[in-house]
Amino acid sequence: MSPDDILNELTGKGLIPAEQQAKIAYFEQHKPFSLHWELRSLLYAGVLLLSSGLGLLIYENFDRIGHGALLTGIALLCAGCYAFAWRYRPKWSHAEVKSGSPFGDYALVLGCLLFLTLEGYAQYQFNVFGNRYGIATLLPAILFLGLAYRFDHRGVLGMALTALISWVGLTVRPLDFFLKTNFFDQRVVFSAIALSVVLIGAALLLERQRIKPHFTYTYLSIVGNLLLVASLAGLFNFDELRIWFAILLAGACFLFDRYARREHSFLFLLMSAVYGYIGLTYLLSFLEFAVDAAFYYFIFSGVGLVIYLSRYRRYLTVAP
Amino acid sequence: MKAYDETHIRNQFIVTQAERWQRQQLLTPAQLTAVRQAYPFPFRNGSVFIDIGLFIFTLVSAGGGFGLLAVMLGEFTAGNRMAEGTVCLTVGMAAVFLTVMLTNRGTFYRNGVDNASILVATVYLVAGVHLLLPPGLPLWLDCLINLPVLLAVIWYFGDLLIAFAALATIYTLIFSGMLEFSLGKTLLPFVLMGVSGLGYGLARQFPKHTRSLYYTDVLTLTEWVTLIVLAASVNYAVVRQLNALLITPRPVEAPEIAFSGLFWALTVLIPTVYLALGLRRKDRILLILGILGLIAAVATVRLYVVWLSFSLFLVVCGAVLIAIAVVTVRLLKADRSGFTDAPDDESPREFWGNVQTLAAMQGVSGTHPPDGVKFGGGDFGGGGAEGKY
Repeated sequence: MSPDDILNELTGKGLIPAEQQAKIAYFEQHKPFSLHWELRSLLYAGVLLLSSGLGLLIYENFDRIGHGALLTGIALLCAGCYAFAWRYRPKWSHAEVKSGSPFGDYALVLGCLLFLTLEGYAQYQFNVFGNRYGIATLLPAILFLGLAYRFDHRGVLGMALTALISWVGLTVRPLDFFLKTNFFDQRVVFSAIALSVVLIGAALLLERQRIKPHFTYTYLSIVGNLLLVASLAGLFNFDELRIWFAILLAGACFLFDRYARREHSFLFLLMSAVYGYIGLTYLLSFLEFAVDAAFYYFIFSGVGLVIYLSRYRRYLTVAP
Repeated sequence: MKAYDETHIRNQFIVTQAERWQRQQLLTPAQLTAVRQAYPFPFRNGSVFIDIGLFIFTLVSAGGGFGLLAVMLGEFTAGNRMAEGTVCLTVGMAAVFLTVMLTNRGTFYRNGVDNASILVATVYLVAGVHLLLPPGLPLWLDCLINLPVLLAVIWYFGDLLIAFAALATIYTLIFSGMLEFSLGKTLLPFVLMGVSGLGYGLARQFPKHTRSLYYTDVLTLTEWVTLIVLAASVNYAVVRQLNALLITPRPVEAPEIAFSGLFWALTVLIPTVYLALGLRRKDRILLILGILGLIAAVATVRLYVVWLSFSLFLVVCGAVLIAIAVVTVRLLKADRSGFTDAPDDESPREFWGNVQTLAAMQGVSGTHPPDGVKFGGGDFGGGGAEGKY
């Protein structure tokens, strides 16, 4: 069924007058084809490939002639990226604003990635941070956080949060579903929980102050997952503290659920349902059900959650 | 008679188009309201996250049901394929019946619950059919037997997941069937190419059929999959590596293949044709696969004709991609030859924003080993320098 077919039908039913039909038909025939996201994706892929390639290149050419020139080149490119982004910087505002150039956002990401490459190299070659590895991850985190707010860039905010998370001892690679951590270490679990509580609190506070409120989603989706994973990890790994982690998990799920309903942001509803269900099922497993009772549990709890989530489907259209 | 009401699907399609026109201010809000009243449909739609949750928890429930069934009937049917098969078929039919009861209420239309129960029903039906047949059939025959069940489910429900399973089954059927012949291995790439081309042609022709709206998603998926397989099946690297996998004992290095010149030509030619056709027809699927195919073609050349180190190759590719994107964005500042750089309202803005954030986060990790190991040269990669690039 083509737009033309629909147009003919609507006109036939008298819902659209003939001259308007001609106007819409003309629009459909002549509307341009948008390459916006294809080109942005190409740009992003280019940025990621270039920065990965340069990152590897430094180490491949270690101890070779031209090495200094390569480093200088990368540093210049990095500075150039920041300069470009700065030149087209958006006006500072608490609300959402856009870079003055279509390439500003991408230059900023490339600049940040190259900064990480250079910083890593400085540590590798000159040991600038010594054994204080915390500073090596905290430094880019703080820099990126500042840049994210100044340039209104959610990607750079994501980078800042990733750096902060690695500062407390976790590696996250979302595209590979990769999470490397040591959740058997109580210190790591507590740091992760403390960090996420602080960041979520800060995000909600900033939202209340209407300072970049559109960042809240990025904060909550990244750090919220960290909080829920860490609570589950605590529940699984530390028997003596199980009850506290259970309370923490329940509280976090409850708050996410409320937030999701208030903001109609259903990712958080899904997160609280899934993490909460895993936690609850784990706790119930200590009751040592009979096998068929366990199956009944899965049947009825599944149906219960389906009914619960179904309530959030809404009417797309007016009732007939 | 199918599972979902075709008139409702048609109405939804018309209303969606009218809403698009209204956003372009080609229709007045009053006209849109009139269209909505003239074309009612009862589907309720949440967000994709709600659908995912519904899908997961329906499967949890069904898993519990399976466990219970196994505990209750296991004693009686254990080892008796006939009995097990009959139980599976009965449960499968019951699941179809339940799904139809659900869809008949009208509000569910691909909302996770129905997707999951269609999946469960199909798995039971396929398992039931197999249990009633003697064990140890060759793979191609297994696929051949599954296919009618899957196609029937697709005809009735128009379900996307089952469509994907059916396409996978068709390709597995061809793959394992061709290997039964002595000449099969040599002909395999050409047969895969031919079948994919045929499948693509059919998927393109079908929308002219008046009842095609029911299958829009299935047809779009078929276009994507057939075009990907068509390009991949004659890609030099794919053919050479697959060929080596099929040799026993497996050689350390994949040997040169027959018709290598032809495959090299097709590796470059097919994506080029996609891209050209995509630009001419303004077809997004062809366009995207053309670009990805050309990137894959360049990577294939690098793989066998090494003239750059991996890092330099990444740098050059990255720079070229950035250059192409920058030049095109600048060219399209004003609309040109029917193309524009302005986003249209059909593009998934939120989705791409999130993907870009994830990609940026990916770029950070790997750079800083958090466990405090001194930065090692080998696994250090600025922007996620995994092999997949």
